[in-house]
Parts: sequence; C-alpha cells; structure tokens
Amino acid sequence: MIECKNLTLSYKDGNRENLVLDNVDMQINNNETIVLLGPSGSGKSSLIYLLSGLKNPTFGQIMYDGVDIEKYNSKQFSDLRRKKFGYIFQQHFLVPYLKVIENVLVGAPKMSNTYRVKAQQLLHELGIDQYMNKRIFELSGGERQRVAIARALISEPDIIFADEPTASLDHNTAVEILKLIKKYKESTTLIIATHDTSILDGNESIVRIEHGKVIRDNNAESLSTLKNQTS
Amino acid sequence: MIYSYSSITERQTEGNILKPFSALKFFKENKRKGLMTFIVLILSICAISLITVMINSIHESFDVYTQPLTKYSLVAGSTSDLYLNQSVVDKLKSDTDIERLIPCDTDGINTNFSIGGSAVVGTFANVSNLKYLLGKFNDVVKEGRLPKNNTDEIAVHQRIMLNKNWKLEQIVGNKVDSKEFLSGSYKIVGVLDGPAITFVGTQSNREKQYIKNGLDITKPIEYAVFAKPGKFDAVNKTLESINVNDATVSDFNTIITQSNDSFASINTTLIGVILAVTIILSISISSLMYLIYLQRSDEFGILLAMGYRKSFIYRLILKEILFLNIISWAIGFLLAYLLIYLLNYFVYNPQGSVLNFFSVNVFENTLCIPIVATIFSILPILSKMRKQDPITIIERRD
Repeated sequence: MIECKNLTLSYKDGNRENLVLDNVDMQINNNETIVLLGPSGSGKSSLIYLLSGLKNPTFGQIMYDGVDIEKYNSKQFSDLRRKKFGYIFQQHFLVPYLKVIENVLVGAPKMSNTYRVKAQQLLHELGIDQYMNKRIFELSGGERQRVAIARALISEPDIIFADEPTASLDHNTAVEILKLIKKYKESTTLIIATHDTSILDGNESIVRIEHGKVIRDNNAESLSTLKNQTS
Repeated sequence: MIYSYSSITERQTEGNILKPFSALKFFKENKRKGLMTFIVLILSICAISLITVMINSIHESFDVYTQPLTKYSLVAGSTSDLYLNQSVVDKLKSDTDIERLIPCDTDGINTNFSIGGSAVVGTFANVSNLKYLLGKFNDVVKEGRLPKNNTDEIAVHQRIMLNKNWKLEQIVGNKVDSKEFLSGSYKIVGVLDGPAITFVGTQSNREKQYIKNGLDITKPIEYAVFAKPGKFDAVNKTLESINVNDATVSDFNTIITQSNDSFASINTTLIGVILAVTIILSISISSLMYLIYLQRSDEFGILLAMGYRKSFIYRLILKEILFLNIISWAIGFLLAYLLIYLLNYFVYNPQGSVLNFFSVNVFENTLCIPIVATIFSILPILSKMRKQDPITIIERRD
C-alpha cells in the first residue's frame, strides 16, 4: 500500500511561488488500478514522480507499506525503486544498442538465467518474442512500448507507475497497450497518468487532478461523465 | 506476481544476453563511435613505443661502445701536447693499484648501430698485450687469427663486421674509403666475439706511420691502464685527479659525465614528446568521449529513473573507458612490437645491431597515455553525470 499525506510540490519562478500539488492526501491499496486524469499541467506527472520517488516533495509524507520513504537510506531506496516499482513512460527510453531481450533485462534486479527465462516469457505474453534478438530501431512504436512494459514487469514490481504510457501511440495501439498493462493488475498496483479518457474501460478508479488538487471518484459513472465532457 | 508460465518458450537467444552492461558492450555494438578514439590511441601508443625504443637503442649503443672502458682506462697526451707528461708516466708506473700499463695507440671505426651513428674504439698494441687485453674484455677470436706484430692487420668484432658489411681478408681504413675514421689501411685477419665490441691491431705498425709523420716514438703517447682486481675505482680516481694540461684521461666515469649532458637533453626531449602527445591526445579523446556519453544521457537518465544508483553508472562509464584504453594500449603495444621486430629483421640485425623492445620505460611511457586519457575522459563526464536529473529527460518531448 502506498499513501501520501499533505503532499505539496511547488517551485519558484522568479519571485513567484508556483504550486504544482497542493496538500494531496491519498491512499492506494494493493492491486488497485488508479487512473490519474487531468489536463496537461494539472500535476498528474508530478504526482507520479513524487509517489515513485523520482522527485522530492516540497512538503508532506509518502509512506510505502507503512514506512516513510524518507527513512530509507540511499541503497534501500534504490533497491525499493528497482525491485518494488516498475516504470513506464510516454517514451519508451529503451537502450538503442541493446537487443530487445537485453532491454527487458535492464529492468531485472540482477542478471541471471531465471530472469532471462522470465524476460522470454514476458515477451511471449506481450506477443513480441519473435523480436527477442532484434534491435530497437527495427520495432514499431507499439512494439517498443511493449518492450518497455516487459522491462517494467520483469522485476515483478508491487507498483507500476505509468506516465502517459500511450500518449505517443495511435488510439488502437493505445487501447491495446493499456489492456496489456492491466493484464497484470491482479498482482500489481497500477498508477496510470493520462489525459486521454477514450482509452479507459470504466474498470479503473479515477482520480481527477485539477490545479494541483486531487478529487477522487470511485465509479465508472464519473468516467462516462468525463468522457462526455471531453467528447 | 502471477505470470502464465505455461507458455514458456525456450527460445534461445544469441550471444551473452545476461550482461547488457558489460564493459565492452557499448563499444562493441557502436564500433564507429569508439573507432576514432581506438585508432588515435593505438597509433599514439605505437609511436611512443617506437620513439622510446629508438632512444633506448642510443643508450644501449653507448653502453656497448663504453663497455671496454669498464675494464680499462686510457691515458693519452693532453690536447696541447701529443706526448704524455713524464710526471704522469712516473705516477702511473709507481701506482701499486695498477696491474698492467700497456703502451698503446687507439683509433676508431665509425658504425651505424644507432640513430646518428658512433665510433667504436679499438686498441693497437703488441700481440702479447693484445692477448691480455682481450682476455680482460672476455672477447675471443672467433674466426681467423690475431694480427701479427709489424703488420697492417686488424681483428674486428663480428658485430662491427656485420654493421660495416666487412669480410675477412678485406682491406679497410681511410686510405681505401675516405669516409672511414680508421686512419691508414688494414687487412682484417680475425673476427672477434664477446661482450666488448672493439677491434685490435699491432702498435709497431702504427709506430712506422708516426715515424713517417716525424713523431718521436721513444716518448710515450698513450697507455691502457688495467687495475688490479677490486682496484678499478681507486685507479680511476687517481687518473681523474691528473691535471688536464698533463694528460687526457678516458675512463668510464669521464665518458659518462661527458655524455650525461647530451643524454639529459635526449631524455628531456623524450619526456617532452610523451607529455605533449599524452596531453593533446587526452584532451582530444576526452572531447570525443564527452560527445559519446552526452549522446547517452537518455540511457543513463532512464537507468537513474528506474532506480539504478549513480555509482553503478559511474562504474559502468569508468569500466567502458578503461577497457577501451587498455585494449587500445595492448594493440598499440603489439603493433609497436611487430614494427620493432620487422625493423630488427630488415634493418638492424643485418647491421649487427638490435632494437630491444622489452624495457621498463617502454611500459611506463606508453602506460601513461591510457591512464591520463582515462582520467581526462572520465572527469568531465562524471561531472556532467553528477548533475543529471532523470525528470528532465523523461519530460523532454521530442
């Protein structure tokens, strides 16, 4: 379980204080799928960065399984992020000179035959095992994002943070990619930031972010309302 | 975590896939990127090796030429007087540390054992003294015989023979070849072998030449001074105390002192060349490396974002640069060895000489290149990496 209390993020722009996140309180249970919805600049990505430990908050507390992440030392925190968290970004950020399977292994906590087999399984499940020994430039956008998903999943993370994972893809591929990510929701908490409501199927918990403030909804009706608003 | 393991495909992957971040992976997969650095390093290391070996050969040639002077010293008349001062002769004759004083005359043969060439010193004395002299030098007659008294004959060390491309029975000297140092004309009757590269002839025949030139041969001109065992340094000390107006002393210490200045300038030049090459090279390689690693910002940024520690990335960069440098050094070194081998085979060995590749300073002089190049390369990259913020990379929309 991950939770945050009074999470605030601001930055100074000259003499002006810009508030990105304003006293966010949130609790995300294990195996829950949370979709952070909001327009560009609303603070979705910043919330993901803070929750995943990529960025430090200006103020507030983030607890992972009841432990304040501030209490982790550098190595423990690094281990937490490598072993317990998985990351999928808008761009795949795959290593261009590595083969597909090697890129997946980049996400593994250690290099071993077990993880090699796991990488092969993941690529098979994601339907790209035939590209295992290919280079990244030989793949399409959707295939690259699948490799990025496999990389995020190989460490069997407790939480997957996906920041606009479908933004650079066409609609059909985006829907398909989101389905693939959700395939693992039974064992993983998914926190997905997106501004595209059209790819959601209503089975997610929706958290709306507006001007750095969080409004949490728990039903699919709000999604259809949102969809109607944006369509 | 639940995966459907039932659908495992044991598809074999090619090569070693378990180490995506091995030290050689990046440059192996991006040969073009490392190629320039690789070539520049190899050529520089090869060039430094060759320069060092060449300069070493000058030192070694000097050692070879001065080797006889580790066994005896020469005392001749001063620059103003051809004949030896009687007081000096008396002093030498009364010195109990001296085993034997051999009246002699010396001359030289110009050789090309090293860059610039040099002259090998030879001794003219009567045959009984020549036998004693060669015994002291640990040289033997390998072929032919020693010169006889009152003849225009010489016995020459085989390395000089090779270097000059001389044959037994050949007539040599400046009378037959004006470029030759050795005055007169002599028949080669013997080939010497041993540690001292020298030549010997009989003095009586030289005396004839002196008489012909109007010199008084009853007066002593030059002595080869042999010290008793263990008294070499003491004798040399006595010889060095002789006033320069009374005699010219050639002993090992004097020669070393005289040559120190020229060697010092050679050594300074070598250090200067190595420093200049190392610094220019290191700056160039560092710039190339900086560009290469700047292009990999995304890769390192995303690794940091995924939880990799900066120390891991620093180690990876250090390993990659170090390996590239070490491999380039090894290849450059091997290439230099091959070139030296070829030079020895085609140029030096036929001249009776040899370039010795394996010496400590070749290692030292070439090793400083990969070490300094690694340090110059790694520092700006690590400084850049220290400021690396993964968010900037993730948020970049391009």
